[in-house]
Amino acid sequence: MTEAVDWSRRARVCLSKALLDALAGGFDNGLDLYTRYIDTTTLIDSDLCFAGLSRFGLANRTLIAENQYVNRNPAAEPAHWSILSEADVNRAGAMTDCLVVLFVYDPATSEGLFPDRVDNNFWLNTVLESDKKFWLWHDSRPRHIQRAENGPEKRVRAFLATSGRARQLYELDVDRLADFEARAHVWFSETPGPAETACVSVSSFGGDYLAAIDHLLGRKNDNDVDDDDDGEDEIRQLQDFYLRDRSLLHKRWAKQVGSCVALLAYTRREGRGSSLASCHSNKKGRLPVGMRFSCLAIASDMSSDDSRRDFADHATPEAAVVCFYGQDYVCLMQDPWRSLALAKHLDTRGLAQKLLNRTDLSEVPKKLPDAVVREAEKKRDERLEKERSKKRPKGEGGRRPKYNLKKRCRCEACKSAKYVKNMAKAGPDKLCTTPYTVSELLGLLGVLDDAAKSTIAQMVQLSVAAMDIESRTFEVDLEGPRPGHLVEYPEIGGPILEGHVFKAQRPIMIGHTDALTRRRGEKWHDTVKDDSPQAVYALFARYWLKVTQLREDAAKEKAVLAEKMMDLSSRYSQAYIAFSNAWIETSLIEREHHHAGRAEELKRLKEEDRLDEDSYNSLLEAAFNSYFKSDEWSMPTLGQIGTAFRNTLPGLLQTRLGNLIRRYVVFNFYG
Amino acid sequence: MCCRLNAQQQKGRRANAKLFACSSGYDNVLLFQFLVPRLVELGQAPRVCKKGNRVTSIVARSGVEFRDIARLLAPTTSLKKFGQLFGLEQAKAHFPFAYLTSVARLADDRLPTDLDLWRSELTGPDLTEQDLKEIVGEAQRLYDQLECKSVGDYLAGYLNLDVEILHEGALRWIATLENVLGINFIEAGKFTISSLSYTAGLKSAESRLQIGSFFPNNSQLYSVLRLGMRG
Repeated sequence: MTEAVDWSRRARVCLSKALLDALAGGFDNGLDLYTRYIDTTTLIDSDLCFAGLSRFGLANRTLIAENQYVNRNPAAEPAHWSILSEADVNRAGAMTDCLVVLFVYDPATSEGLFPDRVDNNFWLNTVLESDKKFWLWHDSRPRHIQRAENGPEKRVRAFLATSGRARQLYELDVDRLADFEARAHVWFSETPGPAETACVSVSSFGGDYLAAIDHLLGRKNDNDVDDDDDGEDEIRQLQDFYLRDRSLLHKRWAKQVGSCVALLAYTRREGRGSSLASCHSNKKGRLPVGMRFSCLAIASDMSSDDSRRDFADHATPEAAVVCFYGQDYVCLMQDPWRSLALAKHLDTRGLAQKLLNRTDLSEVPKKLPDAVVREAEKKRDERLEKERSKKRPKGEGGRRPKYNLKKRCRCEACKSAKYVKNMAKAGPDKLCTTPYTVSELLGLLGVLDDAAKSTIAQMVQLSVAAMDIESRTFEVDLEGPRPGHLVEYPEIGGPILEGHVFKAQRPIMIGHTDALTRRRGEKWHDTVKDDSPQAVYALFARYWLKVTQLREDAAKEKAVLAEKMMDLSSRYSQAYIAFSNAWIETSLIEREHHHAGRAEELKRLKEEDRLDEDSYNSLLEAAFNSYFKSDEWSMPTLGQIGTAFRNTLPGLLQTRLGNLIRRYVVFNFYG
Repeated sequence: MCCRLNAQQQKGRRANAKLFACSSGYDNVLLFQFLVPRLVELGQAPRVCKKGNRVTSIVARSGVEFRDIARLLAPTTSLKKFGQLFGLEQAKAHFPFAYLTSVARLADDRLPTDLDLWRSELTGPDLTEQDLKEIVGEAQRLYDQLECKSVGDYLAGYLNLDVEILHEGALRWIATLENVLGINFIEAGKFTISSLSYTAGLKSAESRLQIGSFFPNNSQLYSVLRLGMRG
């Protein structure tokens, strides 16, 4: 490779798409790679869209191009794949059979956009200047080394991204990779200089972590070993730091560091929320979002028999911080990163643990002061009033109607302050109530006899079904989000990495039964045609058809059973509507009469020339309004009548019966 | 749900591996993955309730509801215990799920005799060779009794047995709870033990004519609850 090419086309393409384009060696372009990525890595997620896409064998390319990849806008980041996610980049690298190494360069504002094509020496010369920020962002190689026993060596591809306002992506010459690595900073440290001088590799100490830390802290084996050293000779796994006596560890380094040593492990937070820039800045005096340091141990002189819980209590702000990162690197953190990592750790874990360890509860107040309670109640009342006013329906002209209901009941409950506090002005709030069931409604209507109980029991039986799925377990192997030893570490320390799946299940047979099926002596099951996921989707499509058919059969049977009860409800309904109609008719007659009588009188006055045209019209309107818009006049609409009936006992019975007829509960059981 | 990981698979699991099929309600997860997309296409507008990574219920517009009955049972209850609880005639059978690596296995004309293949999470890791031989013997008797001609036939028989146990058990559980609480949970639409308990509490208060059950005194119960609230 003689020159480096800008895959972002002078920042017109976003970094994620640029990297996909660059990686898409065997594919047509980044979109093809992205489509295949979605196909092969989608197992199950809350994204129904993707789960449905794999039903078609190959994901729907048009849909993905338009909605997920946003092909029309090259500057828009694609969904569900990001250059910022280690897991995503690893998986894309695995699909294209290469290992991705990604450097990030933070250019000065004055540097502007870089050209389309640059010479290979360009970037080396650029990052050589000591004040430039250049760090290793992503490296897939440690993970591959872990698995290299079974496969051929993979091709390495190196890229350089710029993290300024205009982001560009260049592919670097792999032959010069060592030179770039030598210039990369430790990227959670302000230490100028390459990683290999700022950090030490544990492997250079024969894999002994203790020896590496000794080297960092300046402990010399021959001179500093105490006579009573208990022989803590070596630690070859990070996890072992948990099991060691921390006071002995402290004793080992006490001469060099004084108070205590905090052993942290750096874990880049998985996810797509972080940005290239945010991971290398601490402008606000706190750690960037994408960073996480997990505490392995805090070695101090007061921890001889303490449990793991309280170890955060032993940390002091002056503690020396040793940080493990990458495959087997370890470094001594310097300020401000040292204090930030320590403070973050103490804030998050120390406070909670201090509370957990607390045994003296005398300082905890048993009762809040009355003034505080009064203030809180006042605020609560105001908040409730505000919420209630929002809920109230708007009246005519956009104003909320004022209800001035007179309280007639004088019992103790209705007169109590609690009643007033908990009742809205528009009526009672619905609190602590349970809806009536069909049985209860029949009981309230006085028709719950044995026959009715038996009918309901039969309807319930018809509403219950059972299903089961037999599956086979198969291996999937999606790349983990973090290479090297640190993948295993967070399992102990508690920080959560995003899950990656190694095994999954795929249905192979479905069985279903319900009361009708069993009554007919039938047994239904269905099997997939082959091992492909498409066959499973086809199986479930057939299953749904079967369930729909069985539900309809059951509903018909239930409708026949519920006929008598529905008749009862219908009779109530007819009586109610007949009464309501009579009421409406009476109201209409009254309205006509009132209106006609007043209009006739005004007409007579007009004919006698005692009223002019304008006065006649205004008086006619005033007469109409004075009565028909007053509280004395009211006439319900048909909708209001229907709603009111549905809230009566027979109306509720009708609704509940309908629900029970429709309901078809399919139970399943795992285990 | 009857796909179990056998001991070999468990051993082979990596220290940091995450496995999907390890929690109750996994049938709902499979339904969520394979059936819900179809329901969306059919305009069924499925309502999926999730709690963490668990799918607690899937309710389609047509009234079909998929629910995990384990949410109405004690956490350690297995389907075998569930059937035994009501003394059902049907007893849960055994199946060598470690053998089921492909659909093609269903065409095999005999059950496997390798004892390790019959070990699973359900049988537990501590079974002796004698126990496993008994399991295989029971399976073979069922195989003959059902007149199976292939492993697929046996799996179908095994599946139907499970489904019948679940259906019969569910019906009897409904009847039992109705006798004890006076509430039919299908009728009341309560499908978790917590919601059922809450409803039963209110109904119980109502039957004893305690405050809180009737309008307008529910405000008093509300006050009592508020006084009991913490945090």
